[in-house]
Amino acid sequence: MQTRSQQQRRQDRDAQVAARGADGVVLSVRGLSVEYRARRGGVKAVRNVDFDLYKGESLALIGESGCGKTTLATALVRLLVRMATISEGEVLYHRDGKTVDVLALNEGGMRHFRWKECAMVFQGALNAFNPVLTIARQFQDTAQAHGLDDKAEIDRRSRDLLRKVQLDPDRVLPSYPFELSGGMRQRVLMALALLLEPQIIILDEPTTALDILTQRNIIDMLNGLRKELGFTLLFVSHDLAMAAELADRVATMYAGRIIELGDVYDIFNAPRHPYTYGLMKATPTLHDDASEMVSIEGSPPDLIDLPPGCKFHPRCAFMEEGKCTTEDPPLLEVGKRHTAACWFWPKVEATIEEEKAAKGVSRLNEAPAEQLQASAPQVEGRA
Amino acid sequence: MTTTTTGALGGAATRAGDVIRLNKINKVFQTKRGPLPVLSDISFGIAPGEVICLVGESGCGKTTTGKIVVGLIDQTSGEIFYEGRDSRTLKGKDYDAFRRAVQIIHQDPYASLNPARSIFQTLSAPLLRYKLARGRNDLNAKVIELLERVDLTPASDFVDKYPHQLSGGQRQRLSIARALTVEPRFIVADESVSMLDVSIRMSLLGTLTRLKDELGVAFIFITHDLAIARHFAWEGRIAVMYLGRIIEIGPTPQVINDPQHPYTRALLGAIPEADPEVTRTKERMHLRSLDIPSLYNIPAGCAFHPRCPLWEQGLCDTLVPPLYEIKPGQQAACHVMAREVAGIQPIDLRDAPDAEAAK
Repeated sequence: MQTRSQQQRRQDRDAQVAARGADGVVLSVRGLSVEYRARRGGVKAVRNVDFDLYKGESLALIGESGCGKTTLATALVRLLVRMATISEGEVLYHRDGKTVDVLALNEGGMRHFRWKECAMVFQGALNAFNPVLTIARQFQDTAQAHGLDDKAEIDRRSRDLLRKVQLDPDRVLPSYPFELSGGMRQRVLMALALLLEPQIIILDEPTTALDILTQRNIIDMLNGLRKELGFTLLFVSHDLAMAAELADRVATMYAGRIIELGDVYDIFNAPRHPYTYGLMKATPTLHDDASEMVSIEGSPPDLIDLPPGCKFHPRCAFMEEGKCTTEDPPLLEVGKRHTAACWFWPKVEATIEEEKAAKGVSRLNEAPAEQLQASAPQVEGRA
Repeated sequence: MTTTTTGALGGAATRAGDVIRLNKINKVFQTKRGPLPVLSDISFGIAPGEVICLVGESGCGKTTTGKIVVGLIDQTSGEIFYEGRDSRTLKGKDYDAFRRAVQIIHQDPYASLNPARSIFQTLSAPLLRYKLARGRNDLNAKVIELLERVDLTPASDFVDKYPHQLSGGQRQRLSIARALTVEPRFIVADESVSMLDVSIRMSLLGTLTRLKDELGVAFIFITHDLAIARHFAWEGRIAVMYLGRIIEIGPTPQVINDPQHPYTRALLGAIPEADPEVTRTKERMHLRSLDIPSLYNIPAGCAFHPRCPLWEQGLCDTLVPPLYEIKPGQQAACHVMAREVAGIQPIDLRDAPDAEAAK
């Protein structure tokens, strides 16, 4: 079934993975759990999460509201709200052969880690600029707070970065935030995040609430910056399309856990967890057959009182009494660098293969003439 | 094909049997900085049970159009015909009937429901106002029926709940049930599924589709998401708006698969899609500028010309394009495409024959 380009891509990816080797890891997270205190009890927002972030890669955390994706990202820079505590786990940061235990850092160490090593851009941060300071001042304040005092150097760096995000420094630096459009502010934020040359950038919903053409521009800009500067990107999104655009690897989260993790092409073409598969089926695109769209029955579980066994079993079409209702599956190897937390992932695989086979037939039958014009690139892409 | 320009202008506006028809709607907001023309020359009609999707980026006027149709905002000029009669001339009973016939589902289910009213109170108020229920038992039965219609089941569990006890998806279902209380013929759904999670979105769209099919309700479906528009309005039409004008309108499959206006093409090319294969290889249209012009200072001629790659000097910056019928049933306000594809000679909208007069 694999096309030539797919094979080529896989080889490239293999080479890339081989090249980075074991010491290509910049951040390793082990057994991380975060709880919020609530009146009814502890809200288990993040449960026992393991993953590695590799140098230069882009990893997407996707999932629906309340799945713990933002909490997980925020925990990595220890900026959780006061009601939340990291109850268990380990976050190790690697740079130049040295390893730092992020959770053991004191205030000073943390201040150094944040922004200089790992910068985070929060959701809606484009509305969080100080309204009475010019953009230039915001750059200076940030730099000074992190120990960079040379004004000329700060100016040089900010101009350079603003040009990299396709903004005119002469226009933007003397402006106040309200004078810039949403897309421009999002780009200023990216420049600000890069100011101290961090190794890792964490973005929470980087394009949510932006218009389509602005969103496109931010996506292209991010891809360009990654190529040019080679930073490692971890981003959180509820939008599968963002992952399809920007990620090398995708992690799906459900009820506080990563339930599937793999190469972006594998996650989209061959998901193995019923939830990931359900998300794919529920997301309309511009070319899929509309009648195939199906939503996921039920709603996410109560994070205070989680169901026994697999947390997805009450909504799962592949569920089997016994195994699924009593034992929470660990991440199982389901393919090359592809893991999924489902006892019955071969059943998901079989279903998808059947669907693909059936679709292959129907595609030939359709062959709508008018589609061959403007949507030609899409049609070819699918063939 | 040369006569089609008239047809193009009249085509959408003069079909017989439309429930609602908008004719040359203009809206100008008076602001401190001067007049702000948010809608210009909006004309289209909707047949019973038909779906029309208004799509476009923020500020293009799609929500204002929806609000004008249901009478929440008055237009500055132009007419809205309800069953062939100008809505502003309707009085007394006729006006009541019009207000009952058109309903709106607002965007934010957290803001559009009164938190102090139980579900029963929310749904029974309009039933009582329009005397649609006789006696307590009938009222109860009607409320239960409405809840079942929007899949809030078991309905008896929901009757006494308050909005804060409902999830976002359930709230939006309640908003739909509320719109249905008065048996409308026509519903404006403003970004009704945008705020919901992926997994619930499809089932809510399913509910709306069922209502359309079972009750024959017509919809104006407002969304910024073309994939959702394509899904919901596959058998209906899509109207793409830009800076207060409809710049392309036609049957959904045609507009999505074979867009004629360069702006529609740019939008379709820019949309990130949930398939890495497709989204990383699809053809993009590069615009000459990223900035959306201000409504205070709309460019002369075609408002899209400063960004348009097909732009021709002396044509696009001087003549305001009418909606040319470029393909059967599909109209786009682009001089260049009309000439290249359909051989229509450019005219200015202001010189175009008046659709009403032509009729």
